[in-house]
Amino acid sequence: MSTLPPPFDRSEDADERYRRAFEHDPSRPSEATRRAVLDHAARLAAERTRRAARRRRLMALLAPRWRPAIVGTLAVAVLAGVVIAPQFLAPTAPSESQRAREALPAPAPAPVVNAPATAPPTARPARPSVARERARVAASANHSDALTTRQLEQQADAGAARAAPLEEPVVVTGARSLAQATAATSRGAAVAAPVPASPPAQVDPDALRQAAAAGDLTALRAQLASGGDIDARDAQGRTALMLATVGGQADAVAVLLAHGADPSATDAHGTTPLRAAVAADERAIIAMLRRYGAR
Amino acid sequence: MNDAGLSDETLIARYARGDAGSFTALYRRHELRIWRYLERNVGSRATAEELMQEVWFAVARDAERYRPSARFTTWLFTIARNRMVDAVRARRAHLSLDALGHEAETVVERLTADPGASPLAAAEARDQAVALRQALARLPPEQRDAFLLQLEGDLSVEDVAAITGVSFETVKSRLRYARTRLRDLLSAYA
Repeated sequence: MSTLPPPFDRSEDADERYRRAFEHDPSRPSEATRRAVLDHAARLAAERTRRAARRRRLMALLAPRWRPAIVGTLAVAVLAGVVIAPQFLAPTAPSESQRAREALPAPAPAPVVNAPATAPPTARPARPSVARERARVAASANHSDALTTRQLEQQADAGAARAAPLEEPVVVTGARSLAQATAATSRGAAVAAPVPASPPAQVDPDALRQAAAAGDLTALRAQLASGGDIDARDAQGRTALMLATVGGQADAVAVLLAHGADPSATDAHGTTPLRAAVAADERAIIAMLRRYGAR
Repeated sequence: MNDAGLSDETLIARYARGDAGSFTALYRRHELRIWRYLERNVGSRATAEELMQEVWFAVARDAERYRPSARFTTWLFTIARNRMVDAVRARRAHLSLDALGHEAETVVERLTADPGASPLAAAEARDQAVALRQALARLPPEQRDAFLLQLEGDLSVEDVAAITGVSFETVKSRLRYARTRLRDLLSAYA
């Protein structure tokens, strides 16, 4: 008894029989298949030839006679980057006035000045805007400060997070000027919207979403300052944050998150901004959303 | 330039640089071997036609990635086998002549349709072809695959092992069983 296969050589005749049996096998792929294969290969070859020609042109551009110019340009660019970049990257010490402001206790609640009867109660997104506007006013009033308006805004955002529970917005209307707003600010009040001589802006959820989708930060901030619902949805259930995410507008996403947009608001299909960002491979936005606890 | 004296590896390298004629030479050189491997494995002409296109499209597309560390034939049959396995999985095709019905008969008719053969020779060839087809169809798929890779691809046991992703000893065993089974099935037609 033997369950082992026979030695290798003993079955060689199977190969011979296979070859003999199919010796005259006329089976071939069809002409259509052959033509499709060869045409496809010829198309790819033509594409490769075009690519090679482009590469050759590029190499010709990099010919020795152009190399000094290219290297010189690159060197100048690198040198400029080395000289200029530190000016933007170096940490800026807070100004005296800023340090003094931060050292003060949180401002007491202030009454709403000239608030319209129909003014909505304090909205969540208004608080960062209030602090942000205060920072802008402070920056314009104190030109000697080394901080830029943007830096002040960032600090204000951080400050708003600390002081928000104690702050109430002041809605400035009528002929109140920016200087008056500054005075109000110095008393501990806050300015709700940068509207020096007009009624309070009407919240336009469409405009908010459009600004977010387009990455128009000026319009976005203006809409946020008007105190509307930052998480208002369109017909498909998409919030401004979702549209900014889908549009890859990282700056708009940052502004919206800083103003309290819901990072996990789902649209009508149950998609969250985080999922949309992952699908679009928007890594900066993914990181921001995760920092804000998005699911 | 005559492509006949050039190696497969040279031809694929030339094609990768945009020489369409090199691909045509390669295709003509290996067309029948790939065709027989595919058709005799899947047992269906229509499926083999589709696979044939897919395999050679892949060769054309990936020509730039081919590295002559492996023989071109090994690379080619690796592509062919992978495409075939994918197709069989996707279509749940049956690797058996049983599933072919009348098409199997058509294959056999064509196989034996040699106008120059005498009636006796034709009958004998027909018997042999039918027996061989049936014997191949009765082999376990992995044994048939190994056998066809070696016979049609003219590949070594090492190459077959590399292509099928199993050990040298496993391939040897599969080939041994396949040949024994074929010999037994064909013994009546000696």
